[in-house]
Amino acid sequence: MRKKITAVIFGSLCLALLATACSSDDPKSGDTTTTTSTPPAGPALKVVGSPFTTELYGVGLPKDSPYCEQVNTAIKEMITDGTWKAKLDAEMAGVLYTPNAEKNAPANLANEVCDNTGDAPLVTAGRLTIGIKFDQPKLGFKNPDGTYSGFDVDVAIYVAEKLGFTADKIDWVEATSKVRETLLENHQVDLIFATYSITDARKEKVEFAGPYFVAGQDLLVRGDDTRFTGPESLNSSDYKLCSVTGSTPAQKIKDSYAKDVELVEVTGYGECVTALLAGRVDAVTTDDIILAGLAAAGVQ
Amino acid sequence: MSAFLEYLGSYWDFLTQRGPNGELTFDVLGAFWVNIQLTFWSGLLALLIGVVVVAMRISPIASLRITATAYTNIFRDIPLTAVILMMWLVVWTQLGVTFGGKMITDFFILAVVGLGLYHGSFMAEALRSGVNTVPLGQAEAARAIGLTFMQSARMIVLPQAFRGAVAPIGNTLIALIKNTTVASVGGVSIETSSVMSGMIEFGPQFIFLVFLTFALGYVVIVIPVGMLSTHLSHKLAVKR
Repeated sequence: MRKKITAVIFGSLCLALLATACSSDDPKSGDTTTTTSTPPAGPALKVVGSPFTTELYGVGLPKDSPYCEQVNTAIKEMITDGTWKAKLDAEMAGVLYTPNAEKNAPANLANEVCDNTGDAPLVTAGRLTIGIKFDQPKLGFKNPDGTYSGFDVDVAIYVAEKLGFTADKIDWVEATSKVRETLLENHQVDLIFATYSITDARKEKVEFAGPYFVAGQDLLVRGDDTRFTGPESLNSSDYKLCSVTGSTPAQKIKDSYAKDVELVEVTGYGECVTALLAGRVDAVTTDDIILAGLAAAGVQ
Repeated sequence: MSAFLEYLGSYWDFLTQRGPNGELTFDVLGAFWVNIQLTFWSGLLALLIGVVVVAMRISPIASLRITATAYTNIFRDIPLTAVILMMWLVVWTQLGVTFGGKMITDFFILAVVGLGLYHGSFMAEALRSGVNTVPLGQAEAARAIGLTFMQSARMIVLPQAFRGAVAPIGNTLIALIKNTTVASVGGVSIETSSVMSGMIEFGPQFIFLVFLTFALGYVVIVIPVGMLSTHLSHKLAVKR
């Protein structure tokens, strides 16, 4: 009898372990995110390519940071010496997406006025602590081997170098959307490059340099899907759209563009892509460059 | 002082702002109502599961006892987030389970099932602790007057067990109320933690007030439940 019970307990333990192992396939729960969860041989994804908002990606700084002007200068230099375009093209190679050249014209970039300046010390003396996303392929991504890659990271490394910090003098910190202002206000990071849109509400708490990229909200659909041309084409209760809970894109599309579309809101874009590939939703929405990164990760 | 009042005032405007379609941008009360509904239905399911599992657990049939033990241990040991995520990622996304109607209804039902399955194991354990308060003599006496297992469980043991288990059931219920926020992982984007995410996204300058609002909301819901369960556990306890 006792043996039997022990066997059962072991059995259920194994099952429980198995179940947890299954769930760790979820893109949110591990460090090695998103890319691994999407089936490699699935149908390709494409960005529709008609962005319908303007999102200025800025560099977040604490209000008393001394670096705002220098960051702007560095971004301008990065654009004029061609590194900006080379890095962007390299990151987005092989994806059916071209950044909007009109909006990303040099005149539109790095023109943010630095209102505040101070003499706040660095988080770690002699090193630069930079907050990035860890889960956005091709933008800010922590690779399985512990290195970091993506366009945000490229810009951050370039800017850091201009500030006098080589790549080995940078400490990378994860800055998820919700904690970005808090990280800056509490001086837990020196700079944030994390698809950080410049908004007035955020300006009340932090200082922005940049912008270093002008993105726009767009749609990601399955490669063979020709039904969608822009946000209005989604306006039907037959269509299902996925975005991240409590994010700007989700709110925007509900308010302004497609009132009738059924909106699925989950915790991460990785889940959205899984649902898109499984045919359970028709489109995923957020900024075009993030979608392009997800599409690139889905292709690999 | 006046600056603080002004700050509070602008938070109030933020709380009560309306979208272009006339509805509240952040429906905080509606969100709490969703969590209360989640609590009600999953609590009911959990209680049902708990009663069945505990009956199996004290039954004379070994296979039933083993199944019940296995169930309790499996669902008690998987993190709730994983259970809810499985309901969304596996049951809804990959298996394509749908209940007709809107997707948010699918997510709600799946979240209720997930929460119910998880808390069912805790309910079963709470009820089992109640069973342990029933003296062995009660069951023996029931057998002595010729009641079958089902009869003695239904008429003698479980009623007393329930009365002895009010406090632990109350604890499980309180945990459940707060755990319903995990439903956001399963796509139930109209409940409190999702609305809170949105409020932090759009009002980062109010981050502490936003947290305070939701913390206060849960305190207001949980305190009466706690007081009721304490009161009932005294009132209903079988005096021995």
